[in-house]
Amino acid sequence: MTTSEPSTDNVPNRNREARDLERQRLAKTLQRLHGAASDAMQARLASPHDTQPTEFSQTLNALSHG
Amino acid sequence: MAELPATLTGLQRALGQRQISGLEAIAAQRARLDRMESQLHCVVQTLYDEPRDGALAGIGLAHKDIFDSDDRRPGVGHDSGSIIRGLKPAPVLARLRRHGASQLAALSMTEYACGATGENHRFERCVNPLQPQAAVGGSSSGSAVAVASEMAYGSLGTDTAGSVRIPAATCALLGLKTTHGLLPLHGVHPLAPALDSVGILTRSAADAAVLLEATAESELLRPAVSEALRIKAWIPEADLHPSVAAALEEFARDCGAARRIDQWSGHQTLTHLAEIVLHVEAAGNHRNALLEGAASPAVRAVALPGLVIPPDWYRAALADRARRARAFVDEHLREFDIFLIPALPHPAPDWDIVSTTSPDFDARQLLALHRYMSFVNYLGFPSVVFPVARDDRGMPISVQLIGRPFHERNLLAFAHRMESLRFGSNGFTRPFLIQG
Repeated sequence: MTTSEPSTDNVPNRNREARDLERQRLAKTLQRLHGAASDAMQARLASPHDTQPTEFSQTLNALSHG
Repeated sequence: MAELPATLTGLQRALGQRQISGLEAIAAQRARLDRMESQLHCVVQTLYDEPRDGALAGIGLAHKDIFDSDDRRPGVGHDSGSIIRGLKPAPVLARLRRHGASQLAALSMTEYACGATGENHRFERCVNPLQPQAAVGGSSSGSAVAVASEMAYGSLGTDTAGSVRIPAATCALLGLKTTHGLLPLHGVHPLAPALDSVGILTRSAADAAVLLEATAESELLRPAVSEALRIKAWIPEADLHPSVAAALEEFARDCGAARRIDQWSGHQTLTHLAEIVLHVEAAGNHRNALLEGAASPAVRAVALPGLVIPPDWYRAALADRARRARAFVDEHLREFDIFLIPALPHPAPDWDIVSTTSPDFDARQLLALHRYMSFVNYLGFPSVVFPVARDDRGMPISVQLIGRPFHERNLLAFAHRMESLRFGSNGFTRPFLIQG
């Protein structure tokens, strides 16, 4: 007669590792996808409220007089 | 005096006639705020500043917790703020203080301004003073509750896709989204910098005008025209709840709208462009939290799509903005001064419909809150929302008026006339509170 030993494999840990791996893969994918956009975005967000007049703010100003 | 006046300008008159002193007025407002906060849950932190002289002395204001203030970094709906010695107030707050206004409190908001309601699981849910089961729009939700309940005479909020106008529409207030760049954004936590603008919530149009004049770059503001304003109305009946369509039709008739259309194909395109900019810039702001899986559901909903939107779409949306703004003026505001459109397509919803954790949650109703809002931020134009009728539950039905850039004075002058005609001299909100 054989009895099965209780498994030493920790299912919650295994699930957590799988989730972590999946998250890392997703993060890498998103970083790759977002990389090109992020250069322009990071520059913009570094000074989000730049006071230099842009073409758009000049347009708004012009439209206010029109 | 037994009771404080309903409006900021009413209190200014009482102060001018020495019916009440500035110190007494502030003390009475603080007492009301302390009394009501335990019922309405819109205050993040009570603040105290030294009384000052000026046109706004004795006037108690409270603002969305998104502005830097003296020695205090805002919590932005994520926490309760922190002490940063030497931190200077955002210029908009500094201007109000120079005019003598007192800031009574920092007010609750949706986390990082990401959301169309005040839902924020980090704080107790704020209560709509008109009807407790009714949702409070966001993200400037605490601002709407504090002003509607008369805890403060006015509040500054921010509007990136309707975050001043939606809460105003759910609480029978006037909500003004200013022209992009009219009010300085320094010291204001960004969500999507290309779309962000500081806005004003008050109980009357004249009150909003006072706060606008105190905070705006005055050389940019255009003078109000003295002749009758020409109004074009877009009422997309097929998309509107019958009670909203009927209220807008009646209002357009009453205010003499010279032209009325029910089809406008440009709305959807402009809305898509606004969404691209919003998602991509929000993703840039919250990039690390998104990639680390640490962003909250509210932030993920707004920012996560921005990680996968092609960069070219974002660049094209910004590059086309000036042309789209000119085309909008040519189509709607060349022959007219005001473009009248809906604020919300449906009556103000209850919490159980728009709260994401409710069993009756309806995502379409939540998304509908933005439908007539976000394209205005893409264009950068000013717009004002205010109530014009009641639905069958007594809740407000509001309209939205869009003007040419920097023509806020026209919008507020028109809103003031309509307010006087429909609601008398005590502002928009009290009739809804009394009935509620």
